[in-house]
Amino acid sequence: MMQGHAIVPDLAPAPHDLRVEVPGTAEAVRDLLVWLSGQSLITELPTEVRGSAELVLAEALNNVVEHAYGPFSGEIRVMMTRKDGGLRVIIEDDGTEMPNYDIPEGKLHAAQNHTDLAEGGYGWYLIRKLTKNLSYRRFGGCNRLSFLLEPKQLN
Amino acid sequence: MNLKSETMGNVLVVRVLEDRIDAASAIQFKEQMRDVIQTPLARVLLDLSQVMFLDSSGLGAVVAVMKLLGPDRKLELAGLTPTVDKVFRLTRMDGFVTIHPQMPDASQMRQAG
Repeated sequence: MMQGHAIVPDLAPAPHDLRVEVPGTAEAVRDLLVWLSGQSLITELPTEVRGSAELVLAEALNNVVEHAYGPFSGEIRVMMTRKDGGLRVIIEDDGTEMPNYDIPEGKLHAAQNHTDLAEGGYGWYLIRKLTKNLSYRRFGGCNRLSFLLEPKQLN
Repeated sequence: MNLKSETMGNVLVVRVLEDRIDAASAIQFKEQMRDVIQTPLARVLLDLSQVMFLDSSGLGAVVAVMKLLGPDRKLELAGLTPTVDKVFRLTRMDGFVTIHPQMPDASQMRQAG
């Protein structure tokens, strides 16, 4: 197990293969990602999907830390289920809703040269690029983001 | 954030001796790079061969360093691990920064200089 932040897997078998709850901080998210990268749910994925999975999870979880919670504290719940050789992921938090109750567009901004490049805004672009069935729901003060990581090479 | 820099010809080589440049460390990376690039060489080569993971915050920090260098100096990358390489290519950064497939050796850098 890991040090620093308690990650308590819920061992109840149904309906998810893995359920963890962590504090909504950048350090706890990093610890969770490092811990997850050693779990069979991730290690059994084909190499390139594993890389995408770690990246998408990092982007989605850091968005919760930075935007849903911001200066406030709260928990993040992550649920993962094996699906057709890939993974179905659900991420829930109790923070602020997404702007307009919708997933940001996540477009790359055109740049003529390196001095025009944006320093941020790449997260949703990467999430959209690397996932399928991306969906967002707001209910009862809770945000729920879900997506599918497919087993085949996505990019 | 552990960075090691040395001068090779006219190239400032900066090795990132960390596993990750992520949301938890991106600001630190940017701030330390700001100090490191005070050495006024035209080319800055960032060796990322130890970095196994870079997220959009890490990418943003690398972009910030490119911008700090301004129009007359150039950031180059080398030693990208597969996941890190994927982030740069998916976001089309490879159009703005030279990505060396391997770490250029010292003699190549002197010739280039």
